[in-house]
Amino acid sequence: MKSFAVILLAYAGAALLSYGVAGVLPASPVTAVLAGVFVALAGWPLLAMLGFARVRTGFRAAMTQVHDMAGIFTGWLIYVITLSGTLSVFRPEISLWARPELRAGAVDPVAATSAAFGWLSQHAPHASAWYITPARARAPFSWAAWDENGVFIQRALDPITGAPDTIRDTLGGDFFYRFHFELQLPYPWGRLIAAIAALALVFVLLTGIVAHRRIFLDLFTFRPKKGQRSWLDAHNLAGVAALPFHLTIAFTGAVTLASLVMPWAALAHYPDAAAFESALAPSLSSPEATGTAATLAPIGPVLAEAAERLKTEGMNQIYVYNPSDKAATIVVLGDNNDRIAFGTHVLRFEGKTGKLLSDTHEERPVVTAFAVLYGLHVAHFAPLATRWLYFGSGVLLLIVTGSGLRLWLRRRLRRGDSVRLVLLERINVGVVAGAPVAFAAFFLANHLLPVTLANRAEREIQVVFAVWFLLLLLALTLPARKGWQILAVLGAAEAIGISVLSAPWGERVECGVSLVSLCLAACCIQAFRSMRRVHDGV
Amino acid sequence: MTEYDYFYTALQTCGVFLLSLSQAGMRWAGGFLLPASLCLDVISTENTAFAIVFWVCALAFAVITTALVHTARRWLR
Repeated sequence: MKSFAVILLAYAGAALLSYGVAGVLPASPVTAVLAGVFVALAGWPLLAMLGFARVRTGFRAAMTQVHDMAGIFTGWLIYVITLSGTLSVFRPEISLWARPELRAGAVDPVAATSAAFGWLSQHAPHASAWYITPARARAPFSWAAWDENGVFIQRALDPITGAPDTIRDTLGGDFFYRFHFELQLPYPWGRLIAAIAALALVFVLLTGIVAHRRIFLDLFTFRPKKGQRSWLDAHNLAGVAALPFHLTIAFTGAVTLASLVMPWAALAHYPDAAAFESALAPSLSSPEATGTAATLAPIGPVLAEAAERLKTEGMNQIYVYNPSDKAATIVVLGDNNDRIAFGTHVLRFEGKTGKLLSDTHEERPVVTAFAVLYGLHVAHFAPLATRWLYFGSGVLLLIVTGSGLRLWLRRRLRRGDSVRLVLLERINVGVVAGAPVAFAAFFLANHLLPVTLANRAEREIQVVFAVWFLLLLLALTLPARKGWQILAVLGAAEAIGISVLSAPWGERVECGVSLVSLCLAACCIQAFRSMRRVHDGV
Repeated sequence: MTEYDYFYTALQTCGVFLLSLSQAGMRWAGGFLLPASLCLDVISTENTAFAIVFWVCALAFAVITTALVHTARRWLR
C-alpha cells in the first residue's frame, strides 16, 4: 500500500513538474511542452526512487528491495513487449518471409506507389485517407492502410499491378510491430500499458544499477552449473553488458508514447493533447473535406518531384487525405536513411493539381531531440549489422527479464510453497516459454493456412492467441518443471517446422529465418536436456 | 560493414578482454584500446552518429564474449 502511494505521489510530482516546466520555460509553446514531457519522463522514476529511499531504511537496501518488488506482472509485461519488439527489428524481413510470392530485390518505389494509387483510386475512392508505405528493397511491396465504412484495412499491394490479389493476406512483421506497443488491445489501453511498462523498465534498470553495485565485477562473472548463483550471474551479466542499450530503448520507448502517459505538460499551453500534436507537426494536418467530388492529379510527376527532393533520405510514407474530394492533399514524409533522427522532412502537394504546397524541414531543437530519440527506438537508420546488434541486445533483455522472473519466484518458493506462488510459477511457464512458442505458431500458420482463406490475416492472429491460451492452460495443470520440459520440446518442434517451411532457402530472408529458428531449436533442446539431467540427479 | 569496421570491433573486444584481466598493465592497455577503437571508428566513418550507436551495441557483445572466454578458462582449469 505504501509502495503504491509512493509511485502515485511520484507520478503526481512528475506531472506537476512537467506542467511547471512547460508553463515557465521562456520558449515557444511546442518546445516548452516537449521539454516538460522529457523532464516528467526522467522525473517519475527518479522521484519514485527518492520516495522509496525515504520510506525504507538505507538507499541501497531500499533500491534492492524495490528492484525485487517490481513484481512478476511488470516482468511478464516487459517480457512480451521486449519479445515482440525484438522481432520487430526485422519487421520488413519477416513481412517478406510471410509473403513467399514476392522476391527481395530492387524495386522502383515511384512506379510501385503509382500502381498502388491506381488500385486504391478504383477500390477505396471514398476512404477518408490512404496511408501508403512505398516498396523498398527490404520489403518489395507497397503497404497500404485505409478506412472503409469505419473499418481500418491494411493490405500489401503488388509493386507492379498495385493489386493485393496476388499476395496472401497477412500482417507479417506488422503483427509483432503493432503488438509491441498495442498489445492487441483497443486504443488507448494497449499503448498506455506499454508506456507504463517502458517507464517501469527505466525504473527497474535504475534501481538494478544501485542494487548490483559491483557493476565492474558483474561484467565478467558467470559461474555455470551453480543453481541460483548461475541464474543471478546470467541476470547480472546480460543486464550490465547491454545496459546502455536497455536504458536507451526503455526511455525512448516511453518518449514515443509520452503524450498518453504524461499529457499534463501540453495542458500548460493547449486545450488538449490533440491540439498539441497538431502544433507539433502542422505539416501533417488533415484538411476538412469540402464535399465536392474531384479526381487526383497524375501521381507520377508528384512522386518524381518528391523523390528528387528526398534524394538522400528516401520516402518513408505517403498520406493522401480526402482522395476523392476537391480538398485532396498528398503528404510525403521523408525517411531517415542518412541520419538517426526520425524523418521530419515533409512535402505537401495539392491533390487536384499536384502542385507543391510546402516543403518543410523540422529545425526546432527540442523537436529534433524528440526525433533523435524516436529514431533511436525504431532504428530505421540501422544498417544490417546494427540491426543484428539491436536484435541481440533485445535477446539479452529477454534473458535479463526471464532470469529475473525466475529469481523472483524461486526466492519466494524457498521460503515455503503457497497455492498462490505455485500458481504464479506455473503461469510464469505459460508466459515466458508460452509467448515465444505462440509467436512461432504465427510463422507456421502463415505458411500452413490456405492462401485463399477468408480473413486470413485475422485467422493467423487468432491462431497465436488460441495457442497461447492453450499453453497457459497446459502450464497451469502441470508442475512447473514438467511444463518447462513440454514447452521446450514444443518450441524445438515448432522452430524446426519453421526452418523446414522456409525451403527452398533461395532467398536471404529464408536462410535468415531458418538459421534463427534452428538456433532457437538448439537452445530449446539444450534446455530440455539440462532440465532432464537435473531431474535425473546427474 | 567494411574490413575496417571488423578491425575496430576486434580492437574493441580486445580492449574489453584486457580490462577484465587482473594485472594493472593489462587493464591500462584495455582502457586505452577501448576509447581508441571508438576514436578510430568515428574518424573513419561517414556518419559519426551511426558509428557511436554501433559501438555501444557492439560493446555488449564484447562483454558477453569476454565473460564466455573467462567461463571457458575456468572450466578448463
